[in-house]
Amino acid sequence: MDLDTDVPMEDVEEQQLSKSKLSDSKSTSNTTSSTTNNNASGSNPSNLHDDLSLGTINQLDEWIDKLSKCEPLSEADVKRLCDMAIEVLQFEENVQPVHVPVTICGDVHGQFHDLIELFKIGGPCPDTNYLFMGDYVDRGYYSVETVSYLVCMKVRYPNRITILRGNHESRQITQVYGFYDECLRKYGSATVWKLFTDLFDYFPITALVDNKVFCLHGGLSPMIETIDQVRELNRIQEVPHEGPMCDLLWSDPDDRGGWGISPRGAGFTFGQDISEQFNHTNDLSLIARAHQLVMEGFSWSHQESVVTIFSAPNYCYRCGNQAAIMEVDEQHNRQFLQYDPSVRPGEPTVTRKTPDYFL
Amino acid sequence: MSDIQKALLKRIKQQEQAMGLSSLSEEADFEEIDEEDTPAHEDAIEDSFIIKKFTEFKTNFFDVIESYDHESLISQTYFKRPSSKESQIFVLIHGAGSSSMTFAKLATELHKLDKSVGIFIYDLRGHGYSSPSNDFSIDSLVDDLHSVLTEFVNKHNLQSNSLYIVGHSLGGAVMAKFLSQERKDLNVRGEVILDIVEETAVKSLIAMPHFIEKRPKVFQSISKAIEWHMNYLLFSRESANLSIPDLLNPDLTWKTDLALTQPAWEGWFVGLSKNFLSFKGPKLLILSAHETLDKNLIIGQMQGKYQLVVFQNNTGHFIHEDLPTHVAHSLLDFVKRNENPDKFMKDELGIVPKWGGKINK
Repeated sequence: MDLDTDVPMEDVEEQQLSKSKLSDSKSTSNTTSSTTNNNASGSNPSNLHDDLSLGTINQLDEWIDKLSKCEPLSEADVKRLCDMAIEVLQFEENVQPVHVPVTICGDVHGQFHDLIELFKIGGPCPDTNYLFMGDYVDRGYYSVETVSYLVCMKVRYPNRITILRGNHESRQITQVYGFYDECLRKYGSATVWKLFTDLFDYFPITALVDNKVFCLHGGLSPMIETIDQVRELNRIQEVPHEGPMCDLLWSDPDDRGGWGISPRGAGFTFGQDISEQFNHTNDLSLIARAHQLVMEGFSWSHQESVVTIFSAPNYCYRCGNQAAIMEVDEQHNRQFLQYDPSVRPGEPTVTRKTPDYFL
Repeated sequence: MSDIQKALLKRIKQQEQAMGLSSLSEEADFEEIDEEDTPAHEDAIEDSFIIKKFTEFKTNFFDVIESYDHESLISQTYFKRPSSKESQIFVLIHGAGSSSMTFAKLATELHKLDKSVGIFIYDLRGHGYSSPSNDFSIDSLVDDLHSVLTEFVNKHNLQSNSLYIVGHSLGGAVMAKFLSQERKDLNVRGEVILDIVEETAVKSLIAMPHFIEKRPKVFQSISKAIEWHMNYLLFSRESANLSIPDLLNPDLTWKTDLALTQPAWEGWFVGLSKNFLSFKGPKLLILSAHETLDKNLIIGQMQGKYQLVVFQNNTGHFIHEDLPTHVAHSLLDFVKRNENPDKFMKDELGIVPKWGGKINK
């Protein structure tokens, strides 16, 4: 299997544990310094994984605690978080290798409380490994908290959680579907939106679980016949309007065979013949993807060559769908866990301004 | 030259510039005038200018202006011919209180961008130059659409041309209901809704009587009517100059008494989202300002059933008047993608699939 030497192979926590055994006093002093000098990790990010201080870990844990209560980070902390995240994500691959056991998740779309429910159902990270297939922001009311939380977890446990890019992790889309407005509302400026959308460019676009399960947000592209062709793409850019990278984030499986123009206006539809050929060519057992709302939270297509996973229950607080995640164990057995919206006080009500005139 | 004469010349010059015409040679040093309080005879001159341009547009742009007589209902139609038997035709349906001329600017832009496409517009009953009516029920409007389209296609031998129907507001609801049944007698290839969503529309009905009540019953002049629309509903004066003259009687009262349509409101929008989604062919929804999808449309969108385009800036409900070039580009792109996917992929995207066999029609 492919190993990228650039990718750190141990977890921050594991590294730190061994380090703190060597020098307890050093760790303690680091903790102290980090609270007074919050820029410690940001100023020297290239050494993040070789030299991650306990201070940084504590800082991340502090952020994770805060975010767990659905409280957004300060703008300055988001800046530091994004700098740290770039240092992790830029070394990940277009086809990020992931190992079993892993729990694979679909769209979250700013439904923060349901994301917390997801971790309850699937087991806490880092005890459980997670692979998210994009669309963390837009539509739900807590896109800021959701994406901050997932990025924090990624920096804190880089080898326990993988976060792929969805078609909503884009400058253009987030201006229409809510993330941009939410950032303006919560921070009073577009700075945080800019920080996150710049960070999105670094997210890997696909993952490969033990060389057998190909995971991505959307689907296949007529320009991509082999997984190696995905590796050749330059992914560090805004999601393009067309071309292979766009297709991987936008395409949908279809009942019709062959390729089709997508009714969405971007990407393609692909039939069972295409999925089977792709799986055969690349020696895969399954394509796992998200992108489409499925009422039971997961849905098979193409005689189990493709599975769609959707992890935002009662999408948009109104669609009445279940959510699901897929566990893949060491023996590559798959199990779906379905769940309903979390119970929470003060469920947001959908209020929308009605126009003066519409006839 | 008196001040009034100077002012008149200045306004005419402004109008001509707005219309993109070469300006008058007279280069007098005009003084500023108060735009808010123009004397009546100035309005009259401006009005005659607007009417002239409006009439010229109608007669110059369209190849056929005719009315269809169906069970004593006269429907006014305008047709710009497509270049061939294979070219696509846009059928544009306006909303309540509007008229076919709401699409004047969009039609111009479509033709500018693609000389081959045809454009067909007509006035709904009780609107524009179609006959008056007291029955505005959705079913009657759907029947009208059916008979008008059938007569149009047969009369001009357009059986082989693909039709793309575009409905604004109530026009969208009429179209969606019409297309929720299979129409085997007509070659309808795609449907497009301009700025109407069932949930929002149904909720907004409660505010409509107030809106109708507070709008002027009569205007002092056409230019004052345009001014009023620019203040409340429209963003583009160029569009307004072509759409507003069609809305008023010679005595400057409204041609369409919206209060008469009230009994029909309840049926206008219920089922719109389901109707839109039930059409089997390609679908496009264009919204202004905000993404305001209701439950059925969100599910449909998140399952990839249609294309959604949202234009956020400088537009209100009359999105095709406010942003005619943007909307024209979206419509033509939609047609290109769906009319011939094979050709679209090759010509527009520059790709021939390297693998995976055929491309669906």
